[in-house]
Amino acid sequence: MSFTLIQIILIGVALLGAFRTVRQFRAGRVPPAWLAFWGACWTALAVVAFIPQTTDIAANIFGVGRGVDLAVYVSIVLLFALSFKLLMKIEDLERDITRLVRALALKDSDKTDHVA
Amino acid sequence: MRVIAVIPCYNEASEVGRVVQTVRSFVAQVIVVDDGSNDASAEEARKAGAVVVQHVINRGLGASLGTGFAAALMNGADAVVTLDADGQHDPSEIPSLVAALEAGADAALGSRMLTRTGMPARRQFANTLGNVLTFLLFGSWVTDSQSGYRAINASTLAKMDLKTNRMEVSSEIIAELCRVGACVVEVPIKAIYTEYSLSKGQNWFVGIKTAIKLLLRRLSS
Repeated sequence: MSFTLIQIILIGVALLGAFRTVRQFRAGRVPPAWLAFWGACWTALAVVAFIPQTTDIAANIFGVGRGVDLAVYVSIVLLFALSFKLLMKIEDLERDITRLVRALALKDSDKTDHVA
Repeated sequence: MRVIAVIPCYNEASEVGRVVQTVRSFVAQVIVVDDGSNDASAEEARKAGAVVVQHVINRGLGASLGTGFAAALMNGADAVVTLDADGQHDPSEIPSLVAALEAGADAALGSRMLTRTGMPARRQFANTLGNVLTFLLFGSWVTDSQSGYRAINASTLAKMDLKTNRMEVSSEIIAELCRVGACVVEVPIKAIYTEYSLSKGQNWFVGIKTAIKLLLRRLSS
């Protein structure tokens, strides 16, 4: 069984991703739900790389012409979802920073003319 | 009614002292929130008689207003008036905003669009876009959603939950006033556009960023 260069790269990426995810989970930095999600993503990538025809089966189920088209559509949707999640996370962090800055500012503010 | 003025300030050393001095005669206390300025804004405000609250780093207009509101409530405000540090608001209009609160409103929003005195056409257009976006996202219509001149009574302020950090706070305040069921009135104000205040104005890029942030605020609420 021979593999093309792109298949080797994709399998390598899936293995590396799975390894890193498990390591992060063991270190307690990734919750079980994220381990399951990323585990499924890396497994799907590896399966597609090993047996590219699987994307055609999925494409037929979803009514998309070619398997590779389906992969691109799904990737775009996932990337958008990930970007949105990251944006929301950044907004949360921004709010936390403001809360800290505000607490410091109020603690150190001018005491003159304050009402007791 | 103990009225406290909150003036958010970022690098306004040349104007803030004069603004504080003028505002002082209309309110019980002036709080200047220095938002991590690199110049002598805090010193100038303090010299002019303001209570200064300083952010150690720049956090934006929304964060500054939030800090100013918290400080004003701590200092026993019955009502809070906000205005800009660049001198574009006329402090002699504070009594008309406060009068609206005394007449029973929970919040009085200064509107430049009711007078349109000296307001550049480009600003009017940008403001209208801001009004439409505020209406579409939060369901409340006002004629000048981006106005920084407003008065809000303390009990209403205590119920509001401001989350945004930057320019989007103007629309968020309107959304929050609507959410807490406040009685809101609009009061005509004139805007004083000088070369200085125009140079401090926002560009279209900031406008687009503000719109995106408002959308995120809507989706996260």
